[in-house]
Amino acid sequence: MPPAFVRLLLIAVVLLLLPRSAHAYPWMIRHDYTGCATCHVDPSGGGVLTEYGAAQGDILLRTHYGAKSGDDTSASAGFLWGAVHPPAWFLPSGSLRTLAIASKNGSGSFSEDFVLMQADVRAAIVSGGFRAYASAGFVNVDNPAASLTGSVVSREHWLGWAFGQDDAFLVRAGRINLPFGIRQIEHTLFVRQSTRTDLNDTQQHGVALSYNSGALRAEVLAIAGNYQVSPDVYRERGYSVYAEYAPVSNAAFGVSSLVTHAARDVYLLLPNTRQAHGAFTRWAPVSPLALLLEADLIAQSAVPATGYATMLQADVEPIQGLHLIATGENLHSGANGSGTSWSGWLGAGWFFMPHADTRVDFVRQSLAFGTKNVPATALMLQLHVYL
Amino acid sequence: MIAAKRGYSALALALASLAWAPTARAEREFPVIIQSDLALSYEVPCSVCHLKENTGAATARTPFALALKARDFTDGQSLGTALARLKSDDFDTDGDGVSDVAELKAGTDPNSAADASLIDAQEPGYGCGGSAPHGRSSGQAALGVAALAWLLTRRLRGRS
Repeated sequence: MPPAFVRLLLIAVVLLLLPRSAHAYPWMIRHDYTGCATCHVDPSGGGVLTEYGAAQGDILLRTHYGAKSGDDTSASAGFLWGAVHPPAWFLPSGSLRTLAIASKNGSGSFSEDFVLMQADVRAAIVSGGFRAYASAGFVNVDNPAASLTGSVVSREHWLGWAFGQDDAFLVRAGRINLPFGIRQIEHTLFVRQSTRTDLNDTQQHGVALSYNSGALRAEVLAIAGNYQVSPDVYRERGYSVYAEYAPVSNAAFGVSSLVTHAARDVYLLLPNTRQAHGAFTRWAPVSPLALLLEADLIAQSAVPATGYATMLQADVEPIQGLHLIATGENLHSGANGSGTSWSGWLGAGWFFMPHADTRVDFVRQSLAFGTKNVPATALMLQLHVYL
Repeated sequence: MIAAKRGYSALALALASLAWAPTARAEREFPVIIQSDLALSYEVPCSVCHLKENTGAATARTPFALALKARDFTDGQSLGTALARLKSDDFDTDGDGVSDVAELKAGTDPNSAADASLIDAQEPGYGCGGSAPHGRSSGQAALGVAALAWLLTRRLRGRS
């Protein structure tokens, strides 16, 4: 047993380095979880788990190696593998996700890179109707959009109040994930990149109202802009909204809409009004299989054109904890003379022990540059440990 | 407790993997090379190659950056060759009818048919203080964490 100060130091460093559990697994619909609010403090999914969510994660996510998982939660389900027992109203969390990637574009040679995707610590307070949520972390790129200073990031931080029967409503203000489409962890998918609605760093400051009850869940965010970017001309203002209805326990259908305007777009460096409107569905036709489908129309005033992005993902879980994932997607900017980008992913993920999973993906893309398409290939290996 | 120990082992493994994590700093030589090779009157902003100004190899993913990578651009030495190939290919990333090299010479963004001016463009700053695109590096932040850990160790040793 290491000396007490070493253990405390380890915990301190972990708390400094490792916030945020980036769980956002929309394929949980295979377990009849159509909504997110029972397992996540964020009612639209992702991030810190509720006590119930942590227990269900332990029962349903990981491989149990022959031991019957049953309905009993193991001691390892809790924070820091059950070594620490915070009070029920306090939900600390953390996540470390690393990526080794080898990629090539066109006839170029493979290049390798190592990316520290997340080293976030997060915590939430849930007491009566009161909700508070904050994350802080570290990434190995300079000046991310979630930067507090340099490479220190805070992706989410908000205060809220839940009300109504079973806390069906939550109003909150702060830096919040955009309510749009399917909330999934693959933040580089075309549907997430083209709409700027990923879990990585596209959160915006604003005020949101969500509703979660029975078969219906919805959220609208009044976007005040990302106040971690300056000057003000780069801040987008507008709204983002989604609504999803689950008529049965294994299928849900939703629609999304987003309109924002910035005096100077961070990509285009021009005044730009962005629009994205789309539909999505999650369906588990049989227990091992979950299908995710999203299609969005996208438009930008700076480049007058209407394009689209679509995504279809199939997640098969032949044995508990092991996921075989196939994804197809495309993107068309709509600009005159522009081609269509295509992408195919084949991957496998394994929740091999409590609070840890690994994933490997092979990605083949045909990226449209004007009228020409250039092939791109990537092999990615991720390791994810969460607290 | 066994589960907790296994958990710490996984955490240690993940932390150890950080040892291979490079601190992705902005390669300030790249804009200078592009300016020099193409005889530009201005230094190209980071946004030409990096998403949302995030510097580091992992974020050099704009269409123009990918077009360079497709021509074997990997480092400062290969950048000139990749630019020359881009020029000889007369490649037009955004498909607006003007080649990338011609766009850079005209001071417009080769990534977008919107043709935003790159000259004297005020780049967005990130962070609560609105830090410039080349603000505090990850290395400095890591040093800060290490200093905190050292102070904590000293304090705990003093108590024991």
